Order: sequence, then structure tokens, then C-alpha cells
Amino acid sequence: MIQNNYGIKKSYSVEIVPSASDVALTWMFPDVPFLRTRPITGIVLSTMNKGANTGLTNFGYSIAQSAANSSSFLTLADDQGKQFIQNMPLKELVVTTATDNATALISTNYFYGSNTNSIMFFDPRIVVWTKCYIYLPVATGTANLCCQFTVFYQ
Amino acid sequence: MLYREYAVKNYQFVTIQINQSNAVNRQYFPDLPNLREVYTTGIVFYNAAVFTKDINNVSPCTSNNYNKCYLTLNVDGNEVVQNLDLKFLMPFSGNGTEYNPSGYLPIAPMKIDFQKSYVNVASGQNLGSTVPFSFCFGIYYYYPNQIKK
Repeated sequence: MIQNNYGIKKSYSVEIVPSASDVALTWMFPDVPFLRTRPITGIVLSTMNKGANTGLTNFGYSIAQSAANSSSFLTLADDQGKQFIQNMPLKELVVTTATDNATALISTNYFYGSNTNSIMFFDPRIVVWTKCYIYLPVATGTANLCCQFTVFYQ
Repeated sequence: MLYREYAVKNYQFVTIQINQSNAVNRQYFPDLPNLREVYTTGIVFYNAAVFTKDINNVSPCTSNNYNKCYLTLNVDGNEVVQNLDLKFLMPFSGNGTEYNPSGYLPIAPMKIDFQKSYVNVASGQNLGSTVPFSFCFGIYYYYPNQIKK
């Protein structure tokens, strides 16, 4: 089995702060001018339990902090107009911990990636962030949430 | 534990929704126009331990159902994957005793005919007491014009 050899080069933090809404089912990404021309190579999500537990804006806790908030899906569109990631469960992007990989290997509700620290590596793409979104089949019912992603780019 | 030989190029979430408790044993994939001409490189099967609702607000399959289900994939009229235990495609299970350490099932790149591919329920078994529910899959793929790395 060949391990992933896509190392990170640069990173940038991207956040979704859906106002104070607790009923929205679609959370659009903001425009991220800095990344408009930079191909991204990976993305990882911080949640309350894994990784930083608040966004940079300190606007509240991240999604996927509980089972009730676990149903959320990410769609990313590239500059060719393709949704190259279509409704990927956000849990695929959650940061891992050493505990997950060792003792509690599979007893948590989170994915893990011992060889990549759970970074989902992409074939380098220029992402049009204003066409990207998170979809929640059920509204969170919790106000002031924040989704903080660390994006790796070239 | 995501040992990925390839970086992710494209991904699509796919569900087979079950609306009847006395459903037939063979549950076909819906037509997936986006995936007709692409090469699939990996499939992951999600269950209710991963998320509580799929994108259609339907509950994913629980162990009551997936424990007796098998996957068949059709390529060019051939069932190249025939009745593969769904657990082979799971990133983990709720009780921690069964899992696939690779997190998904890597497969040799192939054009899968999803309309002819299906989940098969063991003979004599009934599908679930709670309907609707869905079999949820994540499909990793690339287009023919994308260079395989």
C-alpha cells in the first residue's frame, strides 16, 4: 500500500460564519481573494472536539461537535465549473488525534488518517469559493456556529 | 486511516433510498449521469454511525441492514465485483470490531455502469423495520482527460 506522498506546502484559514442563523440549510463560503489564483491541494476541518475548537473569529463552536450536527456535506467547485467534490460528508475532513489512531482506533464517530493527519489531499485545483457551500439536511438549531477550514495550497 | 495512493480528484455522494420494508432483494443504484464516463477509483460506504441524515434528510443504513447486504458492480456487462460484503467498504463500524483500515475501498480505475450495479440483500432477509433509509456511498473518480498520478 503506497502512502500518500503529497506533502503540504502552504496553508490558509477559511471560515464560514453563517451570520447568526440557525435555520439555514446551505452555508455558502465567502469570497477568498487570496486563494483565487492559487491551486489548493488539501483541506481539513477543525471542530470542537478535534483541532481548534473555535474559529478565528471566535464566533462559536464548529460544526460536527455532536452527533446531531454530524450530518453536513461539502461541495467544492473549481474554475472549470465542475463540482469536483459533491456532497462529501464533513466528517471526512475532521482532524485526527493520536488517540484516535492508537487506543481508540475506531470507537469514535470521527474519521482519522494516521498518515495524513486527516488532511484530504486533492489533485491541485483552483477553487471558486463563492460557488462552494456546505449543505445540511437538517438545520443545526444552534446559532453562532462557525466552520473553520485549513486549506493547503500551492 | 486514509491510505490514499492517489490524491482525490473528484468525489460524489450517492444514495440508494429504500422506501418499503418489504423491498425486493436487489436494490439498484440510480442513474448517475455524472459518473457514466468516469473512472471510479474508490468507494466508501457510510452508515448511521457516521452521520444521522443523508443529503435527502433520510437516515442512513444501520447494522440491522448492512450486515446482510452485498455489493455488485457492473462494468461492460460483467459483474466484476460480485456480492462483496458491504463491510469491506466501511471506514469503521460503531462497535469498533469491524473496519477497513484504508477508510475506503480502493479499486482499479474502471468505468462502472451504476444502473446495472446493485446492493443485494441476503436471501430470505427483510430490509429494515424502519423506512425510509438509505445506503450511502462516496464515489472517488476521475475523468478520462485527467492524468492519473
